[in-house]
Amino acid sequence: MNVRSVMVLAAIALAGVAAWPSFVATREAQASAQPAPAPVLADYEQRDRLVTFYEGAVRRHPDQLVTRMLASQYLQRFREHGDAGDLLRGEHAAEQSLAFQPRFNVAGEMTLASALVSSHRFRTGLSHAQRALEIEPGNPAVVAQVASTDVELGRYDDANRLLRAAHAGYETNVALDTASARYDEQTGNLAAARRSIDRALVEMDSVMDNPAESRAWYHVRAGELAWTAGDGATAERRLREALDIFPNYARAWNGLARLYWGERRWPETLDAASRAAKLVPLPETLGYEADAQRALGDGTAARATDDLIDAIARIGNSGGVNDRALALYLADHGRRLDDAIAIARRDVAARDDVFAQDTLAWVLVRGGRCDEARDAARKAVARNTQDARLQYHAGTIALACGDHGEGARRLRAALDLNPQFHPLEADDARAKIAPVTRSVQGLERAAVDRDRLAGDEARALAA
Amino acid sequence: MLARPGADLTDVYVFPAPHNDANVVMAVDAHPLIAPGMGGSTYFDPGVMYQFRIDNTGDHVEDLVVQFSASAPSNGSQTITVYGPGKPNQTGTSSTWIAKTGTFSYNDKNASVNGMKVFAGPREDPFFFDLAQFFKIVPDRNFGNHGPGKSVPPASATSFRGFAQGSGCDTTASQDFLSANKFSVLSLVVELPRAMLAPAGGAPGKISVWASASVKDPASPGASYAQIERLARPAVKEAFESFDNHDKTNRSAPTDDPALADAIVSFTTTAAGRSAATAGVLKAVLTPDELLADLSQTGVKAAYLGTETGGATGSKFGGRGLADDVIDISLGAIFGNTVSALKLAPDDGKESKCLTSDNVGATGHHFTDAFPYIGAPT
Repeated sequence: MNVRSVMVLAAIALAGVAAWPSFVATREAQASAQPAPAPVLADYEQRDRLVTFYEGAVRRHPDQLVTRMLASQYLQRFREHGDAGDLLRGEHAAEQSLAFQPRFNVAGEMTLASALVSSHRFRTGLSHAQRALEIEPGNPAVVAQVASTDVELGRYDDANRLLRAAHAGYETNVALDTASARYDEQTGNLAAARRSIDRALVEMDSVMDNPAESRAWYHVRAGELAWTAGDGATAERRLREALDIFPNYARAWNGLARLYWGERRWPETLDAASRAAKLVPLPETLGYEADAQRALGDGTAARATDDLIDAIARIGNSGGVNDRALALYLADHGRRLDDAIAIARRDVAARDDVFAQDTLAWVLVRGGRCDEARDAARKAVARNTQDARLQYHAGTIALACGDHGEGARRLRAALDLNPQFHPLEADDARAKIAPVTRSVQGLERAAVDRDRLAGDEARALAA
Repeated sequence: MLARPGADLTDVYVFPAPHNDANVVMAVDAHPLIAPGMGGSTYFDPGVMYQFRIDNTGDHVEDLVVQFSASAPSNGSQTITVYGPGKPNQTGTSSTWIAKTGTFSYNDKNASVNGMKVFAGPREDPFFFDLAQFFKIVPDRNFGNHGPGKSVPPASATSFRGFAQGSGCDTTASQDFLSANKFSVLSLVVELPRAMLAPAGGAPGKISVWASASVKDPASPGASYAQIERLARPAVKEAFESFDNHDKTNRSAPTDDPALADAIVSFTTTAAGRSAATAGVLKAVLTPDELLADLSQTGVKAAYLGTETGGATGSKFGGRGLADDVIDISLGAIFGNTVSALKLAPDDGKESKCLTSDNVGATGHHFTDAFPYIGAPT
């Protein structure tokens, strides 16, 4: 769900560690916390020119430095515009850098790791990040990159071990805070995740030369976590801030679309989703757009959007980068459930985190495979993740499998976390809870009565 | 912590004004590696206090400062405010603004404030060095090779490039990374009467200059700025000191960096294999890390280490000129016979001739005859 955490970490690392060759990097100044946001520079307007320059520099004087700098520019342009071609170009340039300097090329390893993770080749990406960690075990950006990839792969204990050890040496560090937020988000400490991201946001905003997109990403992330925590007002504010910093940010529009979708503000959903989809047509975004089109009575447009999602599933899903969103969309809409199960299994194979297990559980139960769904759902909530959809899915699956107590508890937890997490499922959770609660309460009352009668009998016998 | 390019100082220069010997020029460059064409859209960091610090009494504590602040960029420009030269409100690593002298516009080469010519804007990076080969020779100084618990790879070269055939050294072409790629920096340049830097009631004499970058001090939320970068002599901190100590040195005053002195001795005697006497001379000359210039020397050009060596590098003015081959001067002292030739220490017979020059000169960089003297980006 949040590969960008890893990518942004890499961007931080590359800005701070590797963008410039080492000699000048040793001259680098380090920033202290600064509460006031710095002015925003529209650096993204220069991206194409920078890419062109570094492409020329690589042609003229290829070495490990300029190839790595070119790779960084490709990856930054990918973050800004979502062109998967830039990912491949960045990967290739990073490999060139490592070919020029195969050993002790921390920045090359980090750049390649970032490109690979962005392409959902998590395990290969992790191996390169780990090579960087072997060279620089004390570098917080490298630690954060490894830990974040560990989280994506569901290796939570490894991530926790790394982050705890690294945090001991720093009062505050953007890279570590970013990785910790992702870990805490998935392991039941949403409040800590929000604090970490808010701290990192302030730090990122204090430096004018940080790329606008990177700064905006922290506002989006803060907005996403606020939404997960049911704080819609903060979520909307943060997402709008992101658009002020980096206009036409697909990720921010997508976040707004999800927020409005959950609140059933259909015209706003359609507007935000359409804007996002025009920039980067992700299946998740298109799903919000299609739902809004249906809710607003435009069935023709909704069907066309569904067709577009299907087309992306066929031709725009290289490396399975959209697997999770596709599987969820198909399951939610009761379409091609066998395909959805296969896609979800592929996602689990690529990265076995709580969200992958949740997706698998959901498509399985929608496909009528209750027991298998229950196993996956248990794994999905094993880390006590404070995510309403995970809790809703687990609760619904528990009910389907006959465990009413567990079902009601999970559904209640979902609504407590975010009463507007989904335009239909939130209401569905409320509807399901009422009879279950009555039923469970009835059973509990009966049990109490039995106990009381048993006690009375015992006292009578004693007398 | 994040890198902060706007506070990343790359070089400091002090030289006589080419057409007015009564004036002296101080320049500091920041924000390395601005790609060609990006200069006009790269700005000074409004959160940073840039300073020249000048000691004119020989105690290595600043007696005067010239400070610069930058406004938020707007419509492709910034307003730069200059403060001083004047007595600092406090010395050391914590600073506050002194009285404002005036303002001028970003990238205006005709600006003047209170009798000083001032410039703040993008310029082609005047520094020259065969960086890639240096890393092969001294991989220990490659940032990418550093970190706790790791081992530095062995050197993969024992010679700089560009030596003559038959020299026994590497004869492949040398390359200056900066000029080859036309990278730029942001330069702050001030030309002012030498008299402005003289001690109170005295004549212009020897001064020590260093530059610093400071940011709002989170521990002191008032008006105080904390130093996060300090720079004077070229390649001293970078060449001699281990990376792990750089941040500590950057946040210290010149009088409080014993780690650098120890690092000079350690590097010179181990990595360079020179005698303790040679190392001792280098330590004495290079610390405290300040750029020494003798303003009483008129009618001459700047010459890096000239004041310290009695003019052996070109003139007793010292300081640092834009075209001074500071790397060759440094390499000559570390690996060559400069120290013994000046009779500052006995010849230890341990020169490494293939390391005495990087064979990269100022060719490819362009300097101008008129203020601000550092060429505009091309």
